[in-house]
Amino acid sequence: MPEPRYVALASLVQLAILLLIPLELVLARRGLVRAEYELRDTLANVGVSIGSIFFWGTLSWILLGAVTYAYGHRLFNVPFTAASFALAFVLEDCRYYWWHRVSHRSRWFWASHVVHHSSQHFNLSTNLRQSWTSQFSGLILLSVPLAWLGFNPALVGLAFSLNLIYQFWIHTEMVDRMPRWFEWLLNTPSHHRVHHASNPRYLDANYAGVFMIWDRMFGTFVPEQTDEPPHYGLVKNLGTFNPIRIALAEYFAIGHDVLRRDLRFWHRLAYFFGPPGWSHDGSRGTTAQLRAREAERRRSGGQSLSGVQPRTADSLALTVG
Amino acid sequence: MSDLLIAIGANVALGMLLLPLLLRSRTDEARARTAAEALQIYRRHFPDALGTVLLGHDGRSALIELGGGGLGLLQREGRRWNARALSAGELTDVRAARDGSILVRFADFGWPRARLVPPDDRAREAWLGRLQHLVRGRARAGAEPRHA
Repeated sequence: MPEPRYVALASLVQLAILLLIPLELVLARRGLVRAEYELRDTLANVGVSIGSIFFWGTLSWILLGAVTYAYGHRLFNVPFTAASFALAFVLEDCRYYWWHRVSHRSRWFWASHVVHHSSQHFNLSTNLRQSWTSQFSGLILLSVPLAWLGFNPALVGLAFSLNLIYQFWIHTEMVDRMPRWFEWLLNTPSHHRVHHASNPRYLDANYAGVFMIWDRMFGTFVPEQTDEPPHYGLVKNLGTFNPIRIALAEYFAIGHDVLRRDLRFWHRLAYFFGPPGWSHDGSRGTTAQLRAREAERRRSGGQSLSGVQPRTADSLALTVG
Repeated sequence: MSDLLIAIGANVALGMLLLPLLLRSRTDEARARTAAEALQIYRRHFPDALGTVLLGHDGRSALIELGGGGLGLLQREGRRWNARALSAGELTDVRAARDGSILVRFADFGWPRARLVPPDDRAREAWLGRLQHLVRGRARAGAEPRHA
């Protein structure tokens, strides 16, 4: 059976493309491309990646066990052909879209995925900043239905790997825009810059892995605006480059919120599974609330988050140190 | 297991390859030159913020006295800036360091500490007093309004 060889090949390709990171860095240093690297940020990415690989590798039996079990009880026998691979690739991409969307919309799953968004830089090394807890957040089980339908797990694994490999090149500022047909159909650096931005307009948008059609179909597509450059990172950024803190910060934040005194049961539940930014006293903001505030600010003639200018001197009392 | 070790080894090798390249890269870091600039940066995070800016001597941090008794913090994070509205009980410790700076610890796993460099001794005492009101156990519950 040749299938595992393809998966191994995909893994080798994944390792090989890591070399594009130093290449981007060198080209940026020479001023040939646009990319911003920072020592501690990039080293933190590498540190997080090592932890991610460790936990992914040691806990992969959870996913493999579930997929193997589902395949053992499959509904159909899907042959291992080019056509079935193409179908698996599209379905896997749809699975990725929903996995990604749920990962952004519910705080328990966000606690796992937030790691990937926690850098305030956006370059190829951002790919390395991956979750340590994806195997036991529960969402990984979205990969099971394809095997249950009858797709060979190796075929699904290959589609999964190629999907991730594709996404490597879109984490960059080197590429401005691709041709229009390409931007319409496929995920690109421009679309993914929007996805990694914390500007209210760009929050919770462009979840696609490979095909942008999912975002266009399900109403989550937001184009990059030339007059609003993306501010990468989180609404509330981390103040650390420590990989352990980066990987676990949101879990601690959930614990801090859930264990507050004087909360009702459903408050605690909402801090756990509600949208990121939800708070019982309205002191924070969900994406919807942040967008509404931003829209109100724009309507009232105030400044947007990205276009802040200082107010006139007489409206401020400034103390210069 | 060998695949796992290879993958981890590849990342370690990548880190070792990147390190000298990164060390030779630009090392300029974020720095606010004026209070107005610090407020402008703070307002990227809290767009409606208005207040008196107390800019640190090194331009790497600032406290913002917000309206209604609130206090905001701007802190350099490499080439980027972090901002937060400080609320009562959010700080676990505030102390003066020997070099004249103020070390602040937060009850926040993702942002555990900050270092502020006041412009002079008088400012340091004022900043210390202001921040110590927010330290857990010393803060009166609900005394500081949260910044939305």
